[in-house]
Amino acid sequence: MTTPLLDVENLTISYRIGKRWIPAVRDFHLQLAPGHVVGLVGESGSGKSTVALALMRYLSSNGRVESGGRLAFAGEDLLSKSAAEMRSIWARRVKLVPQNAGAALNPSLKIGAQVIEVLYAAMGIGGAEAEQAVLGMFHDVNLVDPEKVADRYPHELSGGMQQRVVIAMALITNPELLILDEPTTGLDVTTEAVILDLVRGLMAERDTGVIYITHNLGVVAQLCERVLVLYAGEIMEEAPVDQLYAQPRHPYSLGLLNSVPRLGQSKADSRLHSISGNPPALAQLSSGCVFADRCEFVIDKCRVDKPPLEQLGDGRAVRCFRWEEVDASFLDPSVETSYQSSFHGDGEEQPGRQIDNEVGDKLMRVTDLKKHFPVAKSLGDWLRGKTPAPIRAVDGVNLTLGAGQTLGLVGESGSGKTTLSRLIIGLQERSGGQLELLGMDIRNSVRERSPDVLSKLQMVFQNPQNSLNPYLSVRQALRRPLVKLRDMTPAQAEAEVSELLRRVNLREDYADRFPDELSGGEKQRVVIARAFASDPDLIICDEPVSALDVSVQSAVLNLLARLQEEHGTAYLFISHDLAVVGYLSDVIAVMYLGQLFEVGAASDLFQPPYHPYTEALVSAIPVADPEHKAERMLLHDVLPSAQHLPSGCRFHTRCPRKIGAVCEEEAPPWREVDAGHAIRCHIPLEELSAQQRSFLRPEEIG
Amino acid sequence: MKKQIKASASDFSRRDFLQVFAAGAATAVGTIALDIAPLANIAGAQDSTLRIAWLTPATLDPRSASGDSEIAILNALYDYLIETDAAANLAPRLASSWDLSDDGLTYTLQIREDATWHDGSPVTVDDVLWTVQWHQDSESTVASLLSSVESIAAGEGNTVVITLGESNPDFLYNLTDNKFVILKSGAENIGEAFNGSGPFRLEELIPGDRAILSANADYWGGAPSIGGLEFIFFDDQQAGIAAVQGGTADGILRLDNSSFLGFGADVNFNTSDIPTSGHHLARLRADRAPGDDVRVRQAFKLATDRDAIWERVQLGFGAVGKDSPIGPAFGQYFLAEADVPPRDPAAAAALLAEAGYPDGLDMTLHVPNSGTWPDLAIAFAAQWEEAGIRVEIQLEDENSYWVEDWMQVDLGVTGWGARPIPQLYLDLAYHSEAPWNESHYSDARVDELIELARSSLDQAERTAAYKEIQQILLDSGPVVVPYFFAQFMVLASHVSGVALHPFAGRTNFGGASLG
Amino acid sequence: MNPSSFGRQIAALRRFAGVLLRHPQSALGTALVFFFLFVAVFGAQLAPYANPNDQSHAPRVSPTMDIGALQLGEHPFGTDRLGRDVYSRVILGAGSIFRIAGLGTLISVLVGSAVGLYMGYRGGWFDELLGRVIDALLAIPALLLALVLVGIIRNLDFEIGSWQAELADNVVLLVIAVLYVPVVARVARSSALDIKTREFVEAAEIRGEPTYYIIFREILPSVIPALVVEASLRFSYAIFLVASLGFLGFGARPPSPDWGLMVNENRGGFYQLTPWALDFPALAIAILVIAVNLMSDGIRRAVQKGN
Repeated sequence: MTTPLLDVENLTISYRIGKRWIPAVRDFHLQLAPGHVVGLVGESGSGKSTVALALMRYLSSNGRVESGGRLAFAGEDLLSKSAAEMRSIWARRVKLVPQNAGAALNPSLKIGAQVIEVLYAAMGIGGAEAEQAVLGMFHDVNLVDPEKVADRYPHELSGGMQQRVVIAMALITNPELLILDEPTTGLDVTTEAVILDLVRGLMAERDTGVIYITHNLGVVAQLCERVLVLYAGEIMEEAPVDQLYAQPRHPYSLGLLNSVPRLGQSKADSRLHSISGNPPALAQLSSGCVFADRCEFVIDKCRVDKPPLEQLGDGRAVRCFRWEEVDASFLDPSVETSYQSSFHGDGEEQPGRQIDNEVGDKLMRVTDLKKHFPVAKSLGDWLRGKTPAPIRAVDGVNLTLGAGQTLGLVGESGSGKTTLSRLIIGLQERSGGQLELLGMDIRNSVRERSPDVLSKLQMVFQNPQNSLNPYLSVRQALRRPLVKLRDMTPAQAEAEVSELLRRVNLREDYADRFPDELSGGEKQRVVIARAFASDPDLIICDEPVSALDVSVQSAVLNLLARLQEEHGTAYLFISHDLAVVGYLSDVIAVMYLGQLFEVGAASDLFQPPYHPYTEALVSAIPVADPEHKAERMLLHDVLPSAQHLPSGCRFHTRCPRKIGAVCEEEAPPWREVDAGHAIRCHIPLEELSAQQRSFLRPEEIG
Repeated sequence: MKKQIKASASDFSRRDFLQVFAAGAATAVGTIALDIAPLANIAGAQDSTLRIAWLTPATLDPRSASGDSEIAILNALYDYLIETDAAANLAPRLASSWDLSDDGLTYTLQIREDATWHDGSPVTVDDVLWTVQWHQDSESTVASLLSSVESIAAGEGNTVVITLGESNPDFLYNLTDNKFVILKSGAENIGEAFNGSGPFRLEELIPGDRAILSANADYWGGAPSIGGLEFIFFDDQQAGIAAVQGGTADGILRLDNSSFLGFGADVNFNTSDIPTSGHHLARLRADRAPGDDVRVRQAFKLATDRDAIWERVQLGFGAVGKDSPIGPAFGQYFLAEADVPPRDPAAAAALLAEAGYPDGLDMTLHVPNSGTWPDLAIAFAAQWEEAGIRVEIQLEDENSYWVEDWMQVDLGVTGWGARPIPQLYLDLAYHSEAPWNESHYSDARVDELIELARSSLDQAERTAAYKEIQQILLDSGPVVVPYFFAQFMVLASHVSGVALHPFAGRTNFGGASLG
Repeated sequence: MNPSSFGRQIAALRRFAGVLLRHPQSALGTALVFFFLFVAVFGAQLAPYANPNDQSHAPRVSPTMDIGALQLGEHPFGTDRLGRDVYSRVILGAGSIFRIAGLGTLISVLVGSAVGLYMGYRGGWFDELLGRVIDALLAIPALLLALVLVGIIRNLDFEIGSWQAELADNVVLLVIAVLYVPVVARVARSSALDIKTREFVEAAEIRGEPTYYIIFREILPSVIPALVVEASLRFSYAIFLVASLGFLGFGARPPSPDWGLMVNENRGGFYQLTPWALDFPALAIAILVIAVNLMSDGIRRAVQKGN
């Protein structure tokens, strides 16, 4: 390594809380050479964003870098720079891409003008030259039709395009160091895949040093060379990426890696590993190891002495007394019984065709379910006497769900999966189709449903923050459905509250807590307890873990799996994370623009043949395994509008395997792969299978 | 008899009355105009010009003019036949003298021969007769004032002979009416063109701004000693007062007591105030409960401290009343010797108990919502409360109150403007058949006395009748008259020779001089 | 209410008071408002002359208050033209302004939040219709609308002692309530629109909770901070409005010791005679309005910090 681009030693960053300065990040160090990528991994609160800001000397006024550390950028000491010097460094040499690209763009300026302004401010380049440079940069970040994009306002772009613009804006000054702070969080996997691809390409070309901050271990595996694992403001482990994944040396790294379900892993095979407890509060750090309270390898010494960051050679370092003993075999996965599942095809094209489940009782049957949102007439529509086409969010969905099964629903945002779930739960009124629960016809809206039906259908929401009324205690939140839907007396309800808490692994005294006294995972447990309170037959889980940290996520998934086992409750599980869906589901349905395109058992779905859309989704997943460097099938265009649907096969505008005019003209037929697995595509199954197998590397074909 | 009462009733609109007692009632309510408009002296106005602030006149047609500023302009440009002085005595003007026949029916008025119109032609008897005819043709209020006249014609020499159908000792007062200025025979554009015979000529009338008048050097009474008059118009009184304080006007007439009191301490101004016969009163309806019981009426009288009210509401200007409309301004007719029983709330309460109200009375006191009326009501209310008369004050919008309601309510505060003779009040409001008998009072003896005073030519008999009426009203009448209000004038200290008239608009500026 | 939730509320109140009182301006405003409130409640005990219409004193006496010597004297603020003790009247007037502005605000907040929450939660034609009505009402200046309403109601003739007459006597209070219902409703509506999309509301819907339960049990608690801020703001406007109406002769009627009315009565010529009879009530209005505004600023800050 020549002169490192970034050389950080012994950096401590503090925040003022009240009148005290609390060290939020302690003893941080980092070396980065030009053209290399370092990943910074940690859960929320680990201090990773604080590090990003501190490296740029961009902390807010209540934060400061403590003296004694070193922060050198290309050999220059950044800590001694004046504000004016820092500004010139920010303008050209160091760039930050924040998580929320929308907020980083000025909503009242056209995209092109904003980027030109950056270029002008940094290098004094203006006029036609700047315009050319910007359009070139837009092309480099794979923005289709750069001229058109430059002429738009931020709100006219999709999230993925906005993120690309912000990356272009950062790269246009050809910076030496680029810090990406969760640039793909909140984006669809398909979009994420495109952006990761882009970043990888650009790094190689430009010799830029990159710090990539994320909580997603999959992303790190795909992109980075070295990884720093951060916990509660301290580096737990530092290692080349392949070594970390192959043999993590810190219990925290080990826990993190094992709490993420791998694609194909199922609840039937094993429980996920989870890290119990919560990260410590900044103000209450003990003198010992910050991870001691959650560690499965903890010994008494850990609680008293802080382990040093031990150098293991080969660029590896770990902060643990027992690193030599850390081993995956220490964690014990348990095996669960499996559940059967079923589906039936789309009735619109093949009426009368039902692939019914032979095993288990039929719990719910959805027939030709539709939701069309009317679009208000514009002035032009009035003048022309036209009624605008409705937005067809859900457009003829057929599904059958067996008792005690999990049906996974996947698709990009905008595919209609959330609308579908809201139609079933009754929060939105359907425009057409039938809904049967245990053979009973279910009324449109929750308001019209009997308490009996209401008690059978419950929901777990995406955002635990908003799922509990902040002004009601856990007890009040849990008691209400018991009294309301199970006709319990207050005394009975009181007893049942404790039982519910016990079932979701919360202590009884949590009953008197209020939501702001609970962590995100604890809140989600309460929400799950509340959903189970009415003893439902079906719980709709709309992205129940996507707002949770990785370590918490696995515990909630385990909980859901265990409760299903105990109660025989069916789940309709919605997630954009295929691995999560795959882990919990018996049957998976793939949704695109309001229709199902593939339905199959979870074990079959990730194997060829699959629908080209499923294929794209699968290949976009950043797998938490640096060995897995598959070719990606990228979907570049954005999702078409549900108001102006493409003709023929709705996927034809983006389909990489489009075979010709037939795709644009005719709706594709359902093709049955085997019992319970069907694909809606014009391509014959054998052909599809052959193409897809050749696309994968041989060893991946199971 | 009845016919005449009716006639004289319609002689005066409420507006006339309201205008007259404006001295006491001048409103302090309303927006303070910020435009103290005409600040600078107008070009051509000389140092010998007297500038008086008035409210903006609405009309200068003698048939409809009634406000002080309107009358003030007419009074400066024209002559009346007869006028009244500050003590309500008749004084000659265009009529230099007059005679009454022994039967009391024929008046002979001698018209001045030295009077000339502003255009130089002499004033003649024909002009007087033409003016009368003009009023009668247009059925003006002046015509109704003359309705008891049987004939009016030119007499021997330069005289006018007026013959009445029945005797009326106060008849000549009708000729002093504010509207009865003498116009030139055949005058046209009356109200817009002003060929008068008065002490001042009109130089320019700027509507809404000012009237510029110059001295009439040929005036029969002698040329005014000032070079001219400038009447500056303001939309409200406070603006006029501000103009006087600021020196852009030399004087103002007809202002409210408190503003007037403010000027009193200022050596830069001369102030004058004279008592008038205008008064405020509280009255009970005497034709139904509770006011039909004389003990209730007496309780109200006993519960009232007139001196305290006069001192507070009128700030001690004017005169204390004795529960009748005849006050000290009427000199000989006033029952000065009457003893007003001192305030005694306990006795009043006892009377109420006797009358069947042992727990006192709860009533609504209706009060026009302007000027000092609300204050008067507040003062009454506070005093009466101690006698167990609890009143709720109901402020009434003047415009609608005077149309109808004031005649209906059980307990109300009313204001009566200054008039030169007591008979008018009695004919209008105290005779049982009077058109504005607001208290619905009916007393046979009072009716008899009013009728006697109306027609008797015996001055002593009339005086005695008026005094007996006052005593009856004081003892058992339906009204409480706490005070007679004053008329005010403020002039800059360098102005002299102006005598304030009880009706401010009739104040003559001919004798004014600037020192 | 269980003990823990009670404790939480005490703690929240403490935090709230802490933020409110930390700022010198809002602490001053709050102290003054409480001072005025104290005067309003104990006016009859504090005033040297309990009858505000007592005219037994010499009229037009200058204030006897001597600040330097810390002495009040017989008539600290002097007496007015009718011989009434201005000090007593100012003290006794505090009650009516607090009663009218406070009750008016309270009614408007209660009704307005119920209406607004319902509009925001249920939406539909009810929301549409009422929304238009509210927009129309808000387009008219408050004072103008108040004058028109008071004028109309005052001119109706009611039998003395009838309930209508009783109502007409409290016309200003009612007008304030009517005037501010739309304003409060709008705030409540927009808050409800935000809250109703939260998942805990949907969870209640999924339980089949009735509308009233969702509005009052699920949505209302989250809206209360916004309503508290709005109420304090409305209160300051209401005080100003009460004083303005009194001043314009549309509020309290004589001989009430209403501050606005006192200012009105002592304008014009009287101001030269007894300036103190105008100055002190005017000062009281000014101080109270400023104090309530400072306090409401502080409340807004405290509520925002609390969230």
